[in-house]
Amino acid sequence: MEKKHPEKSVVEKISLKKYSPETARYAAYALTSEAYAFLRPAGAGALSVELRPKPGAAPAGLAARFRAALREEALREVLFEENKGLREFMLLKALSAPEPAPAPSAALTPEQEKELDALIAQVEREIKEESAPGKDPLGITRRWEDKHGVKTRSKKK
Amino acid sequence: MASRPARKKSKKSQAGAPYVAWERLAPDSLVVTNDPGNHVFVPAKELPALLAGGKKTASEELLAKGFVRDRLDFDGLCESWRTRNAYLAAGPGLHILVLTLRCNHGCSYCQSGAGGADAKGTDMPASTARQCVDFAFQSPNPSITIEFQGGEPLLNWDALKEAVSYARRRAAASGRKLRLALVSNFALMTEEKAAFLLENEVSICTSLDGPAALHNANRAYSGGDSHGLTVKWLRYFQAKHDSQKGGVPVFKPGALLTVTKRSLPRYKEIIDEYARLGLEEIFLRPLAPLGYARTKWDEIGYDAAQFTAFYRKSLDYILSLNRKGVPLREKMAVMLLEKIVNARDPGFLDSRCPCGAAIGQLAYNFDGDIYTCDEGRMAAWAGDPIFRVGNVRTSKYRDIVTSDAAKACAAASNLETQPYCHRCAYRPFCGVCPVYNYEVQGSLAGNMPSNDRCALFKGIFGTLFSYLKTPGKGKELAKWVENEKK
Repeated sequence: MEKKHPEKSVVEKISLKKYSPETARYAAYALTSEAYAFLRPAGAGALSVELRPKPGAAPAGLAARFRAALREEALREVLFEENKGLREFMLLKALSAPEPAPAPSAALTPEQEKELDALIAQVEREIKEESAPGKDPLGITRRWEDKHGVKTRSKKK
Repeated sequence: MASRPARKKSKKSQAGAPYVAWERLAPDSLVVTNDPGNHVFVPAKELPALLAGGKKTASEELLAKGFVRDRLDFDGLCESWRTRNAYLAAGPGLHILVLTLRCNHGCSYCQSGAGGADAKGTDMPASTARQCVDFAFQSPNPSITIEFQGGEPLLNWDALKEAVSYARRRAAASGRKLRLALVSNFALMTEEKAAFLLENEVSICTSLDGPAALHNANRAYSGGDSHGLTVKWLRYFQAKHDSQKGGVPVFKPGALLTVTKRSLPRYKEIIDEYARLGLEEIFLRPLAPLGYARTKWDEIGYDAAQFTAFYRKSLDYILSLNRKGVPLREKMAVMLLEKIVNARDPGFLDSRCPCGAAIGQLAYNFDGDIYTCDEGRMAAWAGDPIFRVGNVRTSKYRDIVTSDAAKACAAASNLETQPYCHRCAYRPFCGVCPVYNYEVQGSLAGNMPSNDRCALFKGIFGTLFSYLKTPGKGKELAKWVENEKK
């Protein structure tokens, strides 16, 4: 459903049963190069997105671009939600690995595939058990001497 | 593409794709990337199948590059991510010493906050230069680069000489790897100074904006022909490089191009000038509306679309010269291809997540004040010291890297929290600049959909990926980073 305001604004009513507020927000944000975006409640289970074209921007096709952005954002949100635990696990693993891991391998043996299946099943459980990293897990706030235990020489001046 | 109810967990939670992002290279053509920084080219109509995933439909390429969720090589992908983001555990490696604000040039785009050659009270004392070196060596980064800038650093030769000698002694005493770099317009270069710099393994870089007329129009020098001096000393250092016979290594001199509005239609002349002088790299650096350039933006500036068109035509022309046997590469492309093709960090601080501010670099002003980066120092010169993080005389290293400005810049430039960036296919290779955002858009985080720097980088990435997708050009571009791969 679309209606145009006198100022050439485009108003889209979004069903919250179909799209989350975050999806609508990100889709509207993606168009903020050409329009100001205003999100408001629009009755039970609905959200109103008003796109007010910026000076010099052409309003033609704005509604269609918003609807396309909305569909893509919905897809992205599903991907994001489904992979949240996996991404956190991999990031934590990458940041905390003490030694370099073996080079990437495309071909997996049947045993490795079984191990991977088991590992994937454990991912979300494991990530919950992982504690947050310390305040400086990589040690970049420590001086060279503190980090590597090198004695400081007296300065020649 | 059918939309699905948001926040509803899939029953087949292990099927489908891992988190990926896509951008349109053409209406029917996508580049799709994943967190470890791998990419595939996919026709738009095949995106749903890729997202549905599953090993039955997956190609070897998708499997190998980590685009199938239930067949991920965790160790390999994590190692790839770690290699690409190795800088996160390093600490600041680049230390920029602004030895003076004085300059003998009056460049139309100057972003450094330079004053006249006779300005008073803007030289760094030698004692402060030593303190800056001491501070730099506190960084836990095993490889320290000290870059001497200005103004024109040769106007404060005593401090430059002292800092070079002292830094070499510090490196020798600590066993640290040290790289020294000088950025100079060469107007005050002499054989005696050149000999000292070469003896101390200082790499040399200058500005070259193209042929004489264009260079001199951009870089006014009251002492005479700036272009002539630049070419004279470039050739001098090239000859030293070419004739070296062991001993202290002599680096090939480098040149930096600043692209102004005047440069846009003259890309062929500019590239020809670099080729004529035997330079093997040209860095098509876009101008940013910071410092003095901001006040003259209408005269010298341009938008992202104009730069992208210039960049694409320039790349085409460089590739055509390559086919004729001219060994020339574009530096921006080389650094981004190093990430895209070789999955390695090239040390490009403008394109990191988080950005290099304080955690990758520090800038030391003539008075010992320390800034998150050189752009942050320029903001202070324009009247806003928000990016000042301390002073070499009074501050401790830990206080600098944990300062409010450092943390704010890291948070603002984390692409995971940037609402437009986290869904962008170029995220694994890109970075935002909080100083640019603050100066141009009024907030550290900025607004990426209307951010011209974002549009400019998207234009460059779009060009590079489009060319990589094209069989002939793809191979030619990949050749530019073949040596780096080895």
